[in-house]
Amino acid sequence: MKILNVENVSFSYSEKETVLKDINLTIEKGSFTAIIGCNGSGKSTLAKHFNAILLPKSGAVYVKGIDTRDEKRLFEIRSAAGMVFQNPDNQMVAAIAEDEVAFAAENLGLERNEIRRRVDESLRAVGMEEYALESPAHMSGGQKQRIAVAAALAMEPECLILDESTAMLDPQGRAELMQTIKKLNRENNITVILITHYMDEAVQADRVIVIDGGEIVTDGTPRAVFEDVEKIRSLGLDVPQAAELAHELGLTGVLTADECVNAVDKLLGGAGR
Amino acid sequence: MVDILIGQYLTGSSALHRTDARVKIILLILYAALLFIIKNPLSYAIFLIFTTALTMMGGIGFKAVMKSIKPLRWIIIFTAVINLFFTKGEPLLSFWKIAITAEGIDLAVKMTVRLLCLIVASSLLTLTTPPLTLTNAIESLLSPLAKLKVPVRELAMMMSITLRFIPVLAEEADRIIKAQTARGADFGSGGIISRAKSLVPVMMPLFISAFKRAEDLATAMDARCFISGAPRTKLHEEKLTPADARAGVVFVVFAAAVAAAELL
Amino acid sequence: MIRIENLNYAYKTGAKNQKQALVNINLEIADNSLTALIGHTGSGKSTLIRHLNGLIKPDSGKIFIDDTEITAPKADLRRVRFDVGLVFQYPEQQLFAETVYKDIAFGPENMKLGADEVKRRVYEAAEMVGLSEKPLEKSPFELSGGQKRRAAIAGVLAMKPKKLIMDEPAAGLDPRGREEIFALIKRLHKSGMTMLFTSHSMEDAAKTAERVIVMDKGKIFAEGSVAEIFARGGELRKIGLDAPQVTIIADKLRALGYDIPPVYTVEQMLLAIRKIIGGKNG
Repeated sequence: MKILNVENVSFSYSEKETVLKDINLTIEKGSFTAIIGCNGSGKSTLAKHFNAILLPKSGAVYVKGIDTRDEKRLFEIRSAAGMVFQNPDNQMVAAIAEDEVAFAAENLGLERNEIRRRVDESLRAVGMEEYALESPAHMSGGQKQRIAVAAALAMEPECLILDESTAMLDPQGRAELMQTIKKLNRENNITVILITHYMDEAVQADRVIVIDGGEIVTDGTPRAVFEDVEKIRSLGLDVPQAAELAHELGLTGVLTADECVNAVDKLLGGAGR
Repeated sequence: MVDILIGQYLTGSSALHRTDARVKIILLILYAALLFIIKNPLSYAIFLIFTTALTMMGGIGFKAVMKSIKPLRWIIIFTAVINLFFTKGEPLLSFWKIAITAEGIDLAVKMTVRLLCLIVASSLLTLTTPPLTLTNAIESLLSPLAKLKVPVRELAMMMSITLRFIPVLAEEADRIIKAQTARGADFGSGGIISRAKSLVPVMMPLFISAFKRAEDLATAMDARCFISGAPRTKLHEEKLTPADARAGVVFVVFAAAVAAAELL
Repeated sequence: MIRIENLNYAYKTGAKNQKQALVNINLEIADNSLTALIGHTGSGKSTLIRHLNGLIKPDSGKIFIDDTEITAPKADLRRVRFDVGLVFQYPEQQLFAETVYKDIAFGPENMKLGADEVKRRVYEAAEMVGLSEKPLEKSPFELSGGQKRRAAIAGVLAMKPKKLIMDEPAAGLDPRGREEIFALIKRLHKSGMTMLFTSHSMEDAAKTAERVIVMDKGKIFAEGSVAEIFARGGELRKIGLDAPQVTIIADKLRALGYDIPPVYTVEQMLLAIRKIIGGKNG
């Protein structure tokens, strides 16, 4: 089933330049997609079309079959596609974690018991239930972003969009957040769309879409996308070191560190041990 | 670090923390009213003891209390000095045109105690109540005004967000000041005009950042189905609890003690 | 030379908790060196570098810049700040003037230099960071992300510091932007400047620096040449630093019995593997 349908979408902020050019894209329910591209490629602008923060200048975006221009169904669209942003400090409304998580559910006008249930479940889903009464101001970057994920989960979305949510985190925080969203994707069947410029994160997705100059230039499995080392480099992006090493040694089908170890082991055939 | 306590709620689970914010606000108003009608020194003593006890019960450290008093220290000192030297009465000590009177000492001490009690009690409210809860409480107390088309809800939301961002922006200001200092900026010298001018390299980036944050926040609120003016529900119970009843009883006992002291 | 002796510093939070940020730091950073200061968030690296131009005063200990003790009560900190340039994290957030030119000129003007000298320095600094003349007349807010960062760095370079310290210079940039910044750091180092930058990426340190200082929990955890430090990759991973992927691959191959030294760049790894292949064929 398709959760997201992007049809011939073009977008520009001003007359002068087009940010998105005729984008066509569908996202399957339960999938984990990474959208990568350098700064200014249009990847964040595209992401903001997925929950009607931005509306296409031409073409259309459908969330669960609902046209994002349908203002009457805005709540349905936005609660179906939850979004987590880049700067953890700038997206928090409340001073206490559970109030932050409750915010969306309160906006939806839910019953108190239902809000409570969703808050507890969302916090548990991101492993932050012990921090319910703590202030996010005193948390690490990774923890803040997990609270932000829980805050989106309170809408019980089918799809979670992370708009460069790892960009301001340190390696530990990034690993924490990646682990959380992978678990949500696997165990709670939440569709994940991860906007990033970190290749090691993109590698963990089922599908990688590369955007450059407002257009989709590559779309495929991480293995297929990163095999074309020259192309990725020419777009100003990095290639995971395992893939780069394999490429230099003329090995194929290598994406992860373990695969690289196996391929090199095979290549050397025990020599030099 | 910038010393701003507003919005820097201290986590805790004391009876003071558990008391409903609306109850705390109303009791604080009554407390303040009472504080300004008392005359008997014994009442002042009761106020001091009661306020100290509350501070200890709330688990608020001496340092946090001092921090809330510090920004207002000049006002306290100024008030004390004015009362000390300019109260008419029987002079105890006099030199040149200035006389210290018994009435002056009496008034100066009383005013100082009043101000201290008021500041500490108000900080107890902000230190033991999360800002959002506080604004929710104000919203709830002011809700009758909504019938008069006052946008109580929006105002409360604005207030709580302002409170939340003050520490963030204060920290940012501190960082920008340090960064510009590293580029040789000098904030401490020169006349008023050159000092005001020297603030531009701090204020400009701070404004830009504040606008950027505001924009980000608005987007993040949109993404979570916030619509200004739309009906919302609340996570937290608005029902009063036994803790609130206890707070009420404690306050009545305190007020009775003060009344007794006044009538003595 | 920068020398730090027995430096201690604790944050004064005012509330009950005092947080010890730096514990008994002893360090020496030689002239014309290129050092990476790595550690995870909260390890104390940002706090430490803010001491180096007197923005923070230590609770105890001394700091010498060349032969001047900047922790002495009467130290001329303004002069120190012109000698030790400090570029903050996300420095583009401190841009304020109407034009990039005026922004870069802020430092030299604070030094009370003549108009001609200021102009000369602005153009020189802009050239060093690779900004052409055209963007100089633009508002800093019209520049792209990477350009803004470079303009902000030029603002510090225009003071012609002998030592330049940068806090997380590549934070938030995309791969191309990162590459530009690290190329700039190497260029400045070649021109004779003493360079120190912080990072939480072992990869950035491995690719760019000559020496590495590792901080953990406010203490110096390790210090040495790049090769010395990365030979201890396992320990570094334990304190929350992420190792370059090739380092992990090399470790695993070594565990399989291959004769591969600790490596930290793809080039070194290729060299090691090709050596084995060469041995096998020859």
